[in-house]
Amino acid sequence: MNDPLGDQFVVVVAPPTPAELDLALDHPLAVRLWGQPTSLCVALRPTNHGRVRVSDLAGDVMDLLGHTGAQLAIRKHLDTDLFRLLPFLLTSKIERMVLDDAHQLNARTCEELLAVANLAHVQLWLVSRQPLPTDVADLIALHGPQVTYAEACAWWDSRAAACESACRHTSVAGDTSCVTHGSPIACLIANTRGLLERDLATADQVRLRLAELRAQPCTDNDRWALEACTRDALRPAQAALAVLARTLPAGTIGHVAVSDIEAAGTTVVHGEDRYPVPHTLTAILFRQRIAALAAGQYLDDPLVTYFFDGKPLAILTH
Amino acid sequence: MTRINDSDAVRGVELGVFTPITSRAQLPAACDWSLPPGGELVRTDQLTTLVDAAPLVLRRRRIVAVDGSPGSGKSTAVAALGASASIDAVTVEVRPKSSGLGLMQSFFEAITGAPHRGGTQRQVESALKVLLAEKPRLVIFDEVQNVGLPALQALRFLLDLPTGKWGLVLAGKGLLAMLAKEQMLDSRVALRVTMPKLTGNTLIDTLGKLHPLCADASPRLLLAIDIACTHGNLREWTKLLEWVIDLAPGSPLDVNLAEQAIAYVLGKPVQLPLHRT
Repeated sequence: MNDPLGDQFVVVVAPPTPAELDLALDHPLAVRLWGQPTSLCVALRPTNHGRVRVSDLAGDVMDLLGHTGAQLAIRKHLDTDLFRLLPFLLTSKIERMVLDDAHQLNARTCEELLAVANLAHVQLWLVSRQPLPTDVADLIALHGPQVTYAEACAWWDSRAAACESACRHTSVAGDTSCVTHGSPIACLIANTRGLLERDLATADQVRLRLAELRAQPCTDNDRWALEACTRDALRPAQAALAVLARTLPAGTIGHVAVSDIEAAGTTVVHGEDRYPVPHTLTAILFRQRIAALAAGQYLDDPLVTYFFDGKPLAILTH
Repeated sequence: MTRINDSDAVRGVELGVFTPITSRAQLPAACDWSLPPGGELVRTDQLTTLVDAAPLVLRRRRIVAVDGSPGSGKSTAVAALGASASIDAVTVEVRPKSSGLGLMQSFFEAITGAPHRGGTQRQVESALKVLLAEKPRLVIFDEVQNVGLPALQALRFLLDLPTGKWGLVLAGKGLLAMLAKEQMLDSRVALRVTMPKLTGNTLIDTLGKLHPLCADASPRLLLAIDIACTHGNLREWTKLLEWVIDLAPGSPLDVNLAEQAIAYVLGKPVQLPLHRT
């Protein structure tokens, strides 16, 4: 099907005209994205004395991807780089990201956002409530068209609803009798985005609830799902390699290189041999491979750290 | 367990019925100090406009802004608006030199009655997002001149969220000029009410409705008091009437009594240019 908007790298949504204000009020664009698993909408928080709150943007995207993290100031420096989103976007189902209030972007943040979106193969929708700053508008004009608010709504409506999840619970407690997901952990992880985008819970509440569930006995699948939904790429990968140590030749796991993780984490290469990775671990390993490359490591560098010897670390035992 | 129904997720903001209040007894207790003992709420043109028009614009996620000099009746007017709402009305007293984080913390505390333990603005904003999506509320920020525009932008961000079920009223000295500096905020203000400094016949008329002592006093005496002491400021008039009542309970307001009360208010004796009886 011909979809001129769907194929663009960036789409800019113009501020609603007076005639479109009722549309924007009654059923805003953000609401049209609720329940669409391959798209997410995040509102850019107001600038702080002219500075874009990049760490908050990165944190909000992470939360909506299901990686709820601590929101304390002490962690802020870890989130100020939008490139940190790359491993998490590439291991998610996200194909489109809608940024509301985009007129608050400055050119530098916009460049970084375009680069991340390009590398993560994510289409970017920039929804503005005011005309974009000239330098930002010039930058974006090279990459995609501008549409009206009504056109954008119509496009998103045409994609809505088909992929609604059968299970959408409103409680952060997680449903112990969830038939769709089988466990409160799986149910809560699957519903995190729904809870956050509808403001039914804060990311802190989800994170604390997951921490509670982590302390309780759970299945292997749930344990790895919990590992995979943290904001940490390294320690889950170390834990995953410790599990793989049972299948790889003795003494080799500490030397798994970045390039040894192949096919989106489904295979580990050792010499001429290829070892399949259990499906619960693939995203974790692939994420660490991307995180390592994004951090500037070489392909033949160790995947985790030079000091990892392949043994399970005490901190990772459950 | 309840399930989400998106069909009724967003249709403007349902803020319930607003029934304009008619007497002082209907004002919240915290607002009682703004009127003199035995005084009554005066429905000025500005208050009537505010109470009648605000519900219409609040439902459309627009901001109501009330401007005026100190003592012009802003706080009483917004309290009257809050009292006329059938939903929860929350008043946030903005502390001097509040940062964005400070404003968010005051906001959170005004709703929950307890301070937020979080350390970042984002954390408090996130908690507020959930609170504001819970049930309809009318939120009044008074003394808004105490914060900068970035802090007000954070309020605008929360107001724009499609899940929010609240109306925003801002009141402060020089508020309209302040909002005019930031288009993002100014364009969201749909009702501007300026509380004027009271003078001449408007002053006499308002004072007459405010308190029986003023209703029975001569207009010349009231104007003389205003020139010497109160300068069209209703807060000053409240203080003066409190002194009058305390100095001579049950007595009518005359020149001598007025001069005694003014001496207490100003801290120095004043002779009013009027004939004594």
